[in-house]
This record gives sequence, structure tokens and C-alpha cells, in this order.
Amino acid sequence: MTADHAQSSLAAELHTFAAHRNELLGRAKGKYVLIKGQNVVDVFEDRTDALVRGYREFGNHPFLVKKVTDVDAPLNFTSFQL
Amino acid sequence: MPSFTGSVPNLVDVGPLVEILISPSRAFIDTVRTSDPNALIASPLRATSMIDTGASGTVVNPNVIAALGLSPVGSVFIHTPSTTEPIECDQYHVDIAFPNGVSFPNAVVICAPLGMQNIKCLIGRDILENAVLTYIGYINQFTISF
Repeated sequence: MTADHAQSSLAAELHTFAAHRNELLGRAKGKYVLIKGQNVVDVFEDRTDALVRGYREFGNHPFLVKKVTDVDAPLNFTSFQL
Repeated sequence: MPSFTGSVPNLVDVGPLVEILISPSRAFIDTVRTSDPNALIASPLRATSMIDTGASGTVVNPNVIAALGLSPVGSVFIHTPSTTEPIECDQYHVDIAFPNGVSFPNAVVICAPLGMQNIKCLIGRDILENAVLTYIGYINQFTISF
């Protein structure tokens, strides 16, 4: 999915992910990547490990942990509206 | 297998509601306190939640997330009945505790406003995939086991 991330509080990290997606797919498909700003910090097998590393490096500040996949399939909700 | 049973006056009208506690994740607390023993960490918050098999992910109201003082750690697109295009929402890392000592740590939840009065959280299929949910409509009772 191509998207404008301007509304997200993680806009910088999402742009970084998009810029590195193909390279990440080649070496870390299905793993979790930790991104802060324009930096791809590391990749992890386990999401919690990525989160702990993020807390250790950045404390309680925004960072992105994202599974490396080909597409961002949206989650579906049938019972509540925004 | 830890479990709890909920009862409501009318399961058709109100749905499977349960009071839960939402807190910053233990992983967050331990890691932040290691670097700063005096770091301020929010106490667990009580929230009325609905078990929602129509939700693919767990959703928490923004005012709860704000009260917990957490920063986002993820982002996801969602579709709801009122959206024509996917909406991008932030995700937050929390622990969820159900009654009767049934806990679900390390949940990465979606922050989005819930229009339903008093309901602060939807327990979605990301949590239910680890559970057995028994819905006994004719006696207005449900049981969830992990």
C-alpha cells in the first residue's frame, strides 16, 4: 500500500521504512525492524526484543517497530466506526 | 488454564463487557527503570472493554493512552464500516489484565477513538487468538480462558 504518512506521529520512521523496504525484504523478511528517525537500528526475530531495544536506546520516546512484509494489509473492524 | 466468567443483565443489548486493567508493559517499565530508577510510570488504569470478534486488532481509546503517558511504537492501517480509505493509526505497547488474575502481557494495541459510550477498549482477535471464548447467550454469560 502506498500512503502519505503526514498524519502519523511516526511519519519520519515510516518514510525511512518505505525507503529501505526493498533492502529489508532481501535480508529480513518476516522479521521486525527497529527504526528511529532516518536510522534503521536493527532487525529482530521477536517483536518484544525489538521493543526492549527501543526502550533501552530511546526511552519513552517514539520509535517504530514494524514487521518487514511486502505490503501493509489493513486490519479490518466490522463493529466500530471512526 | 486461567479463565474468568462474565455475566451481564442482557448480553444482546450490552455485549460481552469486562473491566480490565491497562498498564505500560512490564518490558517498558523494567527497561526504563534500569536507566532511570526515578522515572515516572503511570499506574494501571481501569477500563471497560468489550470482547469483539469483529475486531482484528485490540483498540484502546486515546484518552487512556494519553493517561498512560506512552509514546507510539508502531503504526497500522485500519478499515472500519465508516471509512472509505484505510486510516493510519499509532500503536502502543501495553499489558492487559483481566479479572481473576488472567493477564495478557506485551499487547501492541491500536489507538483510535471508540464512539461507544463508556467503552474504552475493544479486545480483538489478536488477543483472542490465544484464548478460548465461550459465549452462552441464553444465560447472559461468557467465559474467556488463556
